[in-house]
Amino acid sequence: MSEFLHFLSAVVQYATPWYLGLMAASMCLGIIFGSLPGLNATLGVALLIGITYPFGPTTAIIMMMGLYVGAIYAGSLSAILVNIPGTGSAAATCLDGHALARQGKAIDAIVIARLASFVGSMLGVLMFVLFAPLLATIALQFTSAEYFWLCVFGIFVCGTLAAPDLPIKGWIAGMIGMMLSFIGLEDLIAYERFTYGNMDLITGLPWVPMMIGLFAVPQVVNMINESARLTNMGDSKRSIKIFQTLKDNVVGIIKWSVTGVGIGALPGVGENIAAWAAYGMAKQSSKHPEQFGKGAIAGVMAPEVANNAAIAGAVLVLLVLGIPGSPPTAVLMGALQIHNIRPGPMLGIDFPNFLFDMGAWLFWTSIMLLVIGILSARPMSMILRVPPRILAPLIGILCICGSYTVSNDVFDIQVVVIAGIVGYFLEKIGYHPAPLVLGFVLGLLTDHSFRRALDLRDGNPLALVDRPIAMIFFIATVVILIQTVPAVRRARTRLVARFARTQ
Amino acid sequence: MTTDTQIPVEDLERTRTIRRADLVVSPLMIAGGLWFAYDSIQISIETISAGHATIVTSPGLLPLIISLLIVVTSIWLFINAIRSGARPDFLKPAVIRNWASKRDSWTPLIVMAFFATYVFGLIGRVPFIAATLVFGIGMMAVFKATKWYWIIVINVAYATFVIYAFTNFAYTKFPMSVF
Repeated sequence: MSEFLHFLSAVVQYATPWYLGLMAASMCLGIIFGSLPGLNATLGVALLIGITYPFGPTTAIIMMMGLYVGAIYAGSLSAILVNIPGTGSAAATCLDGHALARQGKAIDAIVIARLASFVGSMLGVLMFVLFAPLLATIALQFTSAEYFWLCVFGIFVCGTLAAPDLPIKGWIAGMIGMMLSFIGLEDLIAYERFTYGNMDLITGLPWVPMMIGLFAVPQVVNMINESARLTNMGDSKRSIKIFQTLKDNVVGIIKWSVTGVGIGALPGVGENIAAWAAYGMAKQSSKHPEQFGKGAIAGVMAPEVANNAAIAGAVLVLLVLGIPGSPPTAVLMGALQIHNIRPGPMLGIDFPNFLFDMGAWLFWTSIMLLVIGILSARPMSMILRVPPRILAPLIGILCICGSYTVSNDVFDIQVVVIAGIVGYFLEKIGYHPAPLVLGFVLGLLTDHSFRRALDLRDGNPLALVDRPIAMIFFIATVVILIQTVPAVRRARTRLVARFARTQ
Repeated sequence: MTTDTQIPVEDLERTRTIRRADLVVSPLMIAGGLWFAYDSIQISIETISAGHATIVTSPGLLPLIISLLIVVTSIWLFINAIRSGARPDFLKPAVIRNWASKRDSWTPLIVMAFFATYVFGLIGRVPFIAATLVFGIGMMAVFKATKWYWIIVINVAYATFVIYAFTNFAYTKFPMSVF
């Protein structure tokens, strides 16, 4: 209870026009960074370090948090409007968010995403304040075996959910993504894998250009090909009943936000898996799972609740353990250290109120986000009024410029084009880019965790499954794989039908 | 239009096309998987024999497992395609002629040609803004996006704004940039 009172006093303390104005300004900047392909929360926070250095730590960190939260939300904007996720965590939002936009419900999708982000952030803040020590203890229990199974679970869940044709194609896409991540110098024994003498490949394939290529180039082609059908997408009015939608999904929202905070608290995994895990939960518990991928409201809410709740989890482990939970928090850690705030177990002693201050900043940024997000829904949806044949080349240019920005290297934009061409043909034959991207992002972590877990136990394969949390993820993965076997699905359908008849 | 079983005909036709594609793509994936499996074994042999790693810490272990899984799943996909009745009938001249006669068939190839020309042909050889204008104006003109003078106005304004903004606010140094 005392934690909650400390938090409330911090909330009141920061409710000044100066701090709220700073948050709003940095959030608008974050929305720009998150919605432009190539720019992301990590880059935005990094750029702010230099700009905010002359200010005190409070001002600097408030601005960085505003930008971080705004960028994560804005990733869903481009996912909904043009089917290109601005951030990796918004890939799951593409499935139903863009489907809604295609039905002329772009404003509904944006409002739902905004609302879900707000609720997710708020519940994340609440858990952040109340369960900080407990969450940190659970996160500490994760060893290599748990990470390995969590990554495998995430990739296969994403593959199963995102494959429009056959789940096995989603798994293949995830595995291809993993293989691509193995290219380059691995960092356990510094061995060069699959580079075939190409110097550009030594540091591996760049993941932001890969993501942009896989999502953006096929979308540019589709926009031109389907321009007649897409012309009226912008003529959208809000038709959704906000409170009814919240009421209908209240149990789900709590489950998705717990999932978001929990997975967000795991270093290196962050928002990406949280969004997919929540999407999978929403689909499984839905009365109409067949509507997922075709514009289901819960399909937009679940990933947005989870990826915003994950911010609280990621920040929590950063502050309590000194381990960044996601790439933007890694940059944030550097920023904190510049201002002489050293995240880790000593933080509570050096700065006793810092956790509550951070909770208050997250709280206010969430409120700001709700206001700015809902006010900007209509102007943002106007982008869909631009004829697709004009918009598509402009998006193409933005993607090339954005990808080049990541490391000022022409190789990056060559990756965009090659990944785009491959991605287009894979999508045409039933392979969604999302599991490929997730496999690519998590591939190296999977590899390291797998080898470390085995190495620590002298190669005993039981090392991968003989701890409780690892066993849970292992069983969950096996259940997901078995559920997609046609015979098992038929038996399940028969059982459900029989149960319905007896009722 | 729907069939007796209420599955839209378009969906059935799309599934048939995808199965035919599986028939071609899955052997390629099997070949790719075997290639990477072979390479992974080579990596394992090299690192173990040099004493840099054991079998479990070898950097070839997980790539080997994943590439073999790709091979197995691709074999399943190939068998599934054959069982679904897919045949390589898309190689018949009449089918190819029909494909080539549709404008939609050419759009992806044209768009990709524009991207390839922009990135591999123009960037680094001409000023970045000129390369961007060729890409934007060319693509809008080919797909008849709007009137020609609007195409020029939109592209000049947009390219100038985007390149200026990235250069000054994201500290990007574009190749042969004039800003």
